[in-house]
Amino acid sequence: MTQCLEDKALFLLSEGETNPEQQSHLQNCQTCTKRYYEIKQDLRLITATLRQEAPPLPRTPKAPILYRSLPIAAGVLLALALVLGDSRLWRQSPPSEQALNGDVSQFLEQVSEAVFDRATIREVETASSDSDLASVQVALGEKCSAECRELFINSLSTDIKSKAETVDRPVVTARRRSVDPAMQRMVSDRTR
Amino acid sequence: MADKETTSFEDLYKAHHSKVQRLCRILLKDAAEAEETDQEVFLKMFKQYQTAGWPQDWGAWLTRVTINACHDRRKSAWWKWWRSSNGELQLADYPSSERTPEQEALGREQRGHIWQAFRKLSARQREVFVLRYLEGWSTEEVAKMLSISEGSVKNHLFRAVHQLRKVLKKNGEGS
Repeated sequence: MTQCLEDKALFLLSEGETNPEQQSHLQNCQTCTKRYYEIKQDLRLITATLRQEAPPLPRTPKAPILYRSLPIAAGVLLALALVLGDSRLWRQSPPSEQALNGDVSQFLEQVSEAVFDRATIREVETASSDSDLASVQVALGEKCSAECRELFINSLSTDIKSKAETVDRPVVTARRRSVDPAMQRMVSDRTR
Repeated sequence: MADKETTSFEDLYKAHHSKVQRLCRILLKDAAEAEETDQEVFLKMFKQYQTAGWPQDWGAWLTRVTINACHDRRKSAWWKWWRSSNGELQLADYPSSERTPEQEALGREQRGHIWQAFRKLSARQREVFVLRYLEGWSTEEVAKMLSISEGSVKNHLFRAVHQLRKVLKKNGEGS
């Protein structure tokens, strides 16, 4: 072996490790022998220093105990917050449902206002169920009794009157028109 | 092996207290922690003393218990946090009394640097170094005490010695 030994090999030899090749190199190489004794000497110095009474250690104040209780306190607070928050949420659920319903109805109102005219809505509101049936029967070209026809005419006249009173806009009236026979059949089936 | 009938707890305490105290002070970095760990170790010793199963060698048993107690203490996250948030030892803290011929060769400042470098070693390196060179246990015994392989003990030892020598050389050249 011609190459000099590494520090680790020299240290391990000093620790009593037996490697014949390395030991023979150590005996023949002055540089390695010198390094080997340097390691031993340094180790003696270090050990002697550390064997001496240890330097006074810094004494930490009692603050760590306070800090150590922090996770417990945080845990308790979190648990409290969860329990209280949860119960409050449960209590708030019925009003929030009502509010939601109110919101929904308001929204639907706005949508219906946007889709239908206010006047049209009013027309629907004022029409009676009898006149509706009469209107439908007339619209579908069904045979209608005299009473029914009268109802229809009355409803038309009241509609026209109310429109003339309230809104200054073209009035949509139910006009007799040719009815799809399929639709007619469907309606008559249903009334039966 | 100590005889149970003739050896009192007080005798055992007197025989081993200074060694345990020194180990705690070397392995831990806080005086209060070292004291607490020291007491903890002797409490365990007292419990062991009261049982029928006495260890063969109280010295080895106490060393192992002390090492484990210090290890547990260091594992505490809060301890780690607290240690890291507190400053390092100051050179002025190191004792100035010179005792051995080797010590005389070393100046006070140099010794301070060695202690500082020692404190900066990893916990395992410190444990291995202390057990092997300061307590005088063999590599095999150290390996058994720490439940690691002999090769691992040698590796830790080499790294520790390498770090300490670096500091010694650096400051030796400087001074």
